[in-house]
Amino acid sequence: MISKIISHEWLQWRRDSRLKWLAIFLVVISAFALWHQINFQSTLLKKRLKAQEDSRQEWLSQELKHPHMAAHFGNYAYKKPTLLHCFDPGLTIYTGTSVYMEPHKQNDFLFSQSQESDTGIRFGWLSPAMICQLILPLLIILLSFNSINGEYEKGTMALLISQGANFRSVLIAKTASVFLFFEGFITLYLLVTAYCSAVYLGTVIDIYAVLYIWIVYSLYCFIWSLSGVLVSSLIKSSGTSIALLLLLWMFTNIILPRGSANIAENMHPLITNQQFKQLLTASIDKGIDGHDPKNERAKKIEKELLLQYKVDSVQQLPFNFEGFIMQQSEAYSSKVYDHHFNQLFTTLKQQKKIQSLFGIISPYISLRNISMAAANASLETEIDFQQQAEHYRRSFVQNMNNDMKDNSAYGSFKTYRVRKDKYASIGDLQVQNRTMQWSIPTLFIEHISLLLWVLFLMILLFISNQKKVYN
Amino acid sequence: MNPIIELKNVFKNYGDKQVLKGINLTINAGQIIGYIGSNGAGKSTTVKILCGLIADYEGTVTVAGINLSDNPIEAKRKIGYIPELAELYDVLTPMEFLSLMGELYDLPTDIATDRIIKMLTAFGLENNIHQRMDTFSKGMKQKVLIISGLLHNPDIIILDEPLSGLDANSVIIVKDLISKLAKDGKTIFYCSHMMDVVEKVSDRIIFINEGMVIADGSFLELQQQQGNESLEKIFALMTAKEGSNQAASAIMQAFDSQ
Repeated sequence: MISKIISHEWLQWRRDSRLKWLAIFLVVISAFALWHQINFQSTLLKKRLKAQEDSRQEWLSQELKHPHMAAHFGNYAYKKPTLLHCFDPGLTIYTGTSVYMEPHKQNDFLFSQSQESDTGIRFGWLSPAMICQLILPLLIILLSFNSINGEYEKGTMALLISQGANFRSVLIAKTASVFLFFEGFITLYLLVTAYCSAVYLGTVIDIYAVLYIWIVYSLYCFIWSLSGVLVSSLIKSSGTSIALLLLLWMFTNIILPRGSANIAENMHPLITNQQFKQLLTASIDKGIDGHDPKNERAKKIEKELLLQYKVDSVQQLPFNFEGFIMQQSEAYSSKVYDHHFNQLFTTLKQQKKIQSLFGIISPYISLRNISMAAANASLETEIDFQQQAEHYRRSFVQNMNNDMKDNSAYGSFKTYRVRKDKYASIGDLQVQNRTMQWSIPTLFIEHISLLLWVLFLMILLFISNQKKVYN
Repeated sequence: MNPIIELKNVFKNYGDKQVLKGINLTINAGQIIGYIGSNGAGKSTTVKILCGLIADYEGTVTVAGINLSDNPIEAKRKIGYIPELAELYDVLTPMEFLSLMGELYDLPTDIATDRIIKMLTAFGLENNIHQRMDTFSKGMKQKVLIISGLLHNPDIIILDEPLSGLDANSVIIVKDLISKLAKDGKTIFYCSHMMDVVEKVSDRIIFINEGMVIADGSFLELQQQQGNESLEKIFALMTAKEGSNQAASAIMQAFDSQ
C-alpha cells in the first residue's frame, strides 16, 4: 500500500509543471556547483603541482650557501585534495591548502584568509555540500509542506483513508516519497562528485568516506522529510505550514549557525592575528634571540657548555657554537609557539564544542561539521595539517642547523657552505590526509544530535498518527 | 438476519461540543437507508465514523460483523464511500486515479482496468479515460468519484450527496444504479438534503437531529406518525425550531429595518 501511494505521489509530481521547473533548477545549480568546484580545485591543483615542482627545482639549483641561509630559502607544504574535497571544501576556503615554512617563523594560516582563495572566498560557498545542506531542505519543504494538510484541504484524504489506506500508511508513504526522491538525488550527486574528483583531481577513492557521508546526508534528508510531513500533519492550513517550515529552516540553517558562532566567540574570544604575533614576539624576545648569542639565555647556555666540556671558550668546543645556539633558539621559539598555539587550539576547540552543542537544535550545524571532517577540511584536520607542516619545518630547520653545528667552525658564518648533496637529501613534506576513521571520534555530539533529531521527529509523527485520523 | 451495520451507543465530541449523543442503529443487508439531518446534526460525523475517517469515538461500530476499531482496514474493504464533491487528483487521468483506488483495495490490475473502462463508458466518459481531470466539469468529477466508491464491488455503499453537480441523465443513472445495487443485495446508506430523491429511493429513512436519532422507519411509517405530508414537511416538523415560513419572514424583515 505504501509503495502504491509513493508511486502515485511521484506520478502527480511528474505532472506538476512547477515541480519540473524545480527539478531543472536543482539539476542546473547542482551541476554548476560541481563544475565550479572541480574547475577551481583542478586549477588549484595544477598551480600547486607546478609551484611544488618549481620550488623543488629552485631549492636544488640554488647556489651553495650557509645552511642557515639556505634554510631561509624556505619550503612549501601542500595539502592534497581528498575524494570529497570537491563536494565540501570546508575550512580550506579560509585556511588554504599550502603553507610556507622557514626558520623562526611558525605559520599562522589558521588566522588568515587563504591567499589562494580569491575565487574560493567569492564563490567557494557554492559547493555540492552547500546545495545539499541549504538548498535541499528548501526543496524538501516545497514538496512536503502540504503533503498531509493539502489532502485534507482538497478532501482527497477522505478518499485515501476510506478506500483502504490507513493514516499511518499515508504518513509513512508521504515521508518516504519525499525522502526517496531526494535520496536518489543525493546518491547520484555524491557518486558523480566522487567520480569527477577521482578523474579530474586524481584523488584516492575512499569508499568508506563516500558511504559514511552518504549515510549522514541521508539522515539529514530524512530529518527534513519528516519535519515537512510532520508539520503538514499537525497544522491544518498549508499556508501556515509552509510559513512555519520556512521559519524553521531560517532558524536552524541561517540564524543558529551564525548565532552559535557569535555566542562561541563571546564565550571564548579569539585574539587577532596581530595580537597573536605580538604575543609570540614578546615571549621570544624575553628569551633567546637566535641571532644574538650575547643575551642572557645565550650566556647561560654558553657557560653551561664551557663547564660541561671543560673548555675556556666557545671556539674550543667540539662543534660550532653558533650552530648549536641557533638550534637552541629555534627550539625555544618552538616551545613558545607550542605554548601559545595550544592555547589557540584550545580556544578554537572550545568554540567548536559550543557550536557542536548547538547542533542538538540545528541538524545543519551537525551535518556541516561531519561533512567537513569527511572531506578532510574540518577544524581538527586543518590543525592536524598545520601540525604536520610545523613538525616538518622543525626537522628541516634542525637538519640545516645541525649541519652548521657539526660541519662548520665558529666564526665561519660568512664563509661556510653546505655540501653539494645537502639540498637533495632534504625531501618535500608528504602531507598525510586523515581518514574518516581519524575524524569520527571528534564528532560524537554531531552523530548523537542527528540521531536524536530522527528519533524525536519519529516520535512526534507517531503521536500525530495516534491523535489524528480524520477530523 | 444478521445486521450488516451496527452502531451501539456511539458518542463523538469535537472539543467540548458533543456531536453524537448515543447513536444506536441496526441496518440489515440489502436495505436502502436515507440518512437525513440538518447541518451540524451529526450526519457527516456518522458517515466519517462508518468510513473509518474518525477513530476516536465512543461506542461500538460493527461492519459486516467486523468491529471497526479492531480491524478498520478489513471493515473498510466492505464499504464503498462516495463523498460529496471531493477534489480529485486533478493532474491525473480517470484511469490513473481509479487504478490507484483499485490498488488500494488490492484489486487485480486486469479486473480493475476492465471495470474502470466499463463504468466510465456507462457514465459517458469513454472519451475522457486518458484525459487529465483538471479539465473536467464538476459533474464529470462526481461521476469518477462514484466509480471509485463502487470499483471494488463493496457490500455497503455510503453516498454523501452523490447527485451534487450531476446532469439530469446522470442523476437518473445513479438513481437506477442505487435500486439495482440494492436488488443485488448491497446495502445503501444514502445521505442527502434532496428529500424527494430520498423519499423515492429509500426503503428506510432515519432522521438525525442534534446528535440523536429522532425518527426511524419507512416513508409510509413516518407519514403515519406525522400525517400525510411530504418527507420535506415531515423533516421540517420534526427538526425546525421555527417554521420555515417564519424563518423566511425573519430574513425579509432584516431588509425592512434598513
